[in-house]
Amino acid sequence: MVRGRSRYQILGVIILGALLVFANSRGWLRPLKDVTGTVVAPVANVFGSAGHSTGNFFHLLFAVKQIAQDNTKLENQVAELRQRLSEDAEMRRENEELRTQYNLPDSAKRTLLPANVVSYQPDNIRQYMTINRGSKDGLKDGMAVISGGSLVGKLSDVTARSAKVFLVTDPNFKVSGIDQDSPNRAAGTVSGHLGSGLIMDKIAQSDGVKQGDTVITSGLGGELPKGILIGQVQGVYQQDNAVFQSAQLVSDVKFNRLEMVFVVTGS
Amino acid sequence: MKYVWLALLVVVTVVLQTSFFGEVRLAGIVPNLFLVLVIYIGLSLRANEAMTLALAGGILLDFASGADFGLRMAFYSALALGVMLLAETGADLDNLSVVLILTAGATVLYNLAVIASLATIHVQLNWWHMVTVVLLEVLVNMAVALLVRPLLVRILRRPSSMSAVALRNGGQL
Repeated sequence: MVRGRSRYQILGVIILGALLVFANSRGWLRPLKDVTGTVVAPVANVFGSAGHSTGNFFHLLFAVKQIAQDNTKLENQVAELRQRLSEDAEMRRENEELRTQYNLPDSAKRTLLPANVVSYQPDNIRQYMTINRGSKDGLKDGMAVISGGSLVGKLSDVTARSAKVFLVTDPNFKVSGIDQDSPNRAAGTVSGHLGSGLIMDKIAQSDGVKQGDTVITSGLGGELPKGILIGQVQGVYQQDNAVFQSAQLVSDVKFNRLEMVFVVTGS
Repeated sequence: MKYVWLALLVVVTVVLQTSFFGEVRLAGIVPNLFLVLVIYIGLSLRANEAMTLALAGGILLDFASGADFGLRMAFYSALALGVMLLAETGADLDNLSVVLILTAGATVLYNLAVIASLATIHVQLNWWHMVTVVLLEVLVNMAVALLVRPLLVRILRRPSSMSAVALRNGGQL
């Protein structure tokens, strides 16, 4: 049994902890978080860079065969994308001519702010990371974060000099998505699932969704800009007596190997 | 000076866990270095010292987490207290098996706490994947506890701390 003075000291620690939780809920801890982030960030950067180099070294050692397979797959994709790029260039030219002819405003362009990944979540269940940009750089909660054109997550808990990015694979992550390649542009809700990656559900049974389709953000609700790539459909799950169908998505983003990401600050 | 070193140890552990081992994952798992440190702290230091360090490190991890503020602070403080109470039962705390069992048990409890925190939001979990992740994390943390033991025993069982061990053996914290 804990005795005497130690009992009161332990009680003091518990009360202090409860007060800190209350203070955080009120937002009173933000200045302290700012100071802590500012002090720790340079050290975390050094360790993170060292970790990234070490991780790359071991990844190279154990993934040589996979790298060769990925290389072949990517070469094929590049050839296919070159073809699509030339077709898109024609469509863009035609789009601009029509806009000029009908005096329509230009479509919005996105502004991107680069940010370095400073640290990752300290456990293996929640999926988020910390970047070295904050409100001083114009960042706000809810802004989209992308890498290589694909959605990485959205901002949360923005302080003056840092921000948390909740990854799309976090179980709390949800966004409205559209299947770009389905005839009806099938809409659904994309959410992170522990162990299953990304799932797009609430898709109407009548919507034709197939493997390989591209899913993008729909922009509904104004939560994230429209048109950001989320992933490709890897599998479709249908049940005859169910109202909705769902699809498993796979993202091109290597979430555990990110060094730099881009925050969509304007669109 | 002792408290400076202990505070530095806590900060370095937290930074390593969130930055270096966020990139270098063992079997895809981030090792819970701070959990292992709290266990050794609970076995080696006085009650107020152990609880304070566990609380401070938990706060830093909560700052780094961005979600469920207070979860890690509460868990690690409770873990330090639990380890100290275990010391009162007369368990042979210098036995490596005790450390490894504590590490395994604390890892499972920590992950259960994080999963329980998700119960307030509507999420779907792949339970088989969760069990696999937790088991892997148990193995990784036990390996870490084994590897860091010589270093931590050397740092924490210094002459000024020996009195804490002696006091504990006398049945008082």
